[in-house]
Amino acid sequence: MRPDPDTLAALEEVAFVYPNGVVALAGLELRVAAGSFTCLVGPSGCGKTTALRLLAGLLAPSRGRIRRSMRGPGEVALVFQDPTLLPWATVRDNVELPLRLRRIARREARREVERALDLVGLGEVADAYPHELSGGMRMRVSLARALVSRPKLMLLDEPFAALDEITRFRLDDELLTAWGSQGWGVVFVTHSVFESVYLGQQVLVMTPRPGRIAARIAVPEPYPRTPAFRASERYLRLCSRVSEALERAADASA
Amino acid sequence: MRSRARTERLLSGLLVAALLGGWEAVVRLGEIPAYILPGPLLVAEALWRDWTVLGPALLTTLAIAGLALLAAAAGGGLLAVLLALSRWLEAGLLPLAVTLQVVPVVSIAPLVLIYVEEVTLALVLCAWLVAFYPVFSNTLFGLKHTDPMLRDLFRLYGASRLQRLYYLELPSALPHFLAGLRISGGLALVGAVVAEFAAGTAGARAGLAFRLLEAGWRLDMPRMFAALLLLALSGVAIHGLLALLQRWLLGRRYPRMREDR
Repeated sequence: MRPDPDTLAALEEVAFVYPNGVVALAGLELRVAAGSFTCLVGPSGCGKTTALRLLAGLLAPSRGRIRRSMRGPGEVALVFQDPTLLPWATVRDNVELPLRLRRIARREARREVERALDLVGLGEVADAYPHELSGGMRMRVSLARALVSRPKLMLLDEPFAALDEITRFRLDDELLTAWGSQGWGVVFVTHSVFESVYLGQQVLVMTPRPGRIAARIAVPEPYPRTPAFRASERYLRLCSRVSEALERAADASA
Repeated sequence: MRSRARTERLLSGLLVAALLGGWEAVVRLGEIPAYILPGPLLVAEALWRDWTVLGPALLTTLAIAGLALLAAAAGGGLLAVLLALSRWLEAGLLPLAVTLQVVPVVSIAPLVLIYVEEVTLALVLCAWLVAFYPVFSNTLFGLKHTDPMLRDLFRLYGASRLQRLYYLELPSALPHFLAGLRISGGLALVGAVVAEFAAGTAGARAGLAFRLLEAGWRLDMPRMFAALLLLALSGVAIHGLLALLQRWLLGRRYPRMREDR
């Protein structure tokens, strides 16, 4: 892979073996360009989460190389399937946490927090505690916390998988809107073929463990994407291509 | 819900009244002499009559238990933080703390009384030895068992060790600390009583436990029961105060912890 000033992070021939001997990834190639939206789909246990943690710098590869153009803390944001909030802190304090940890001046931090809260429509509940909110709202708090540090790379690990479908669709749209206005690079891990095609510029299909990329499927649909896209034939055709790629990858490894 | 709570309180009140009434009836109908089993009325009378002796004794014992509990909260909490911060300290001090916990205080108290000349201090030290461990081990547990995903997040944001302690580990440990404190509250009183038994301090600074012993030697059973009653009420009061403290500190922020009484 040629060096590219646009590249935020890249995994090159990365393998990862857990201490217990489980090989999670073998020869994974993945490049995230600034402002791009990549979806990662694959069967459960195929190493999607491991790949994200490598990109975040929380794990070091067993083999291969990771290139990251980002240095400072807060340039990478991570959103988990679970909102992972501090239960004893208000919505506002939770969102402020990344800025506190970087010792950003209080006044500026508050301004950034309000901006992030507005972006996900949480201004009204800023003083509530997480347990007083619904699952969808808690996930929005988690998103706002990721947004607040103005990251360059946004890593999302099945963020909406535990929510009901209506809430998930709405959050998908809100995420796209925020992405459109902020322009971070996104890696979105999901096990939903439909979600991956709706969101991404490209969908990467992973093989079962040990994971590598089995197929890259471009989604040439312009943004903003609307619910009408979900009903279009183009959409369904792309979804079936992704599904087929998933099945082929599973068969090949079986 | 509220009316159910009221019914429960009424029922438990009736139960206590029935027990006391039964006790008095057994003593009277059975013509049991007061030096074997005094009835509740006689105990109440002794409490009233001997208040000049029992009152100061109560204050002494409460002061010892209270100081021991404060020292347990401060010492146990602080030591837990130090051990959580340093693996070396943990490896070195944890076995020591466990050993102190498993050696019965009755067997240490005489030694403490020999080495520490100031009796009140020695008593507080003994009570502290008993009360210290639950606060300490609960707090340590809370500090060490934080949400692993939150820990990842703190790493991602480049949090320093002290930031992780302040923003993540201390708030996570607070409910555990308070739960430990509630156990320690009862134990501080037990420790104070045991230490007083061992010390046998007479005179103006005698505590309830010594008065209890003394009444036993004199076969003054009503006074013995009165002292016992005061000890029991002290235990209930400490428990209640700590429960209030727990509710006040956890409040709205820790929803699930608020339910337990």
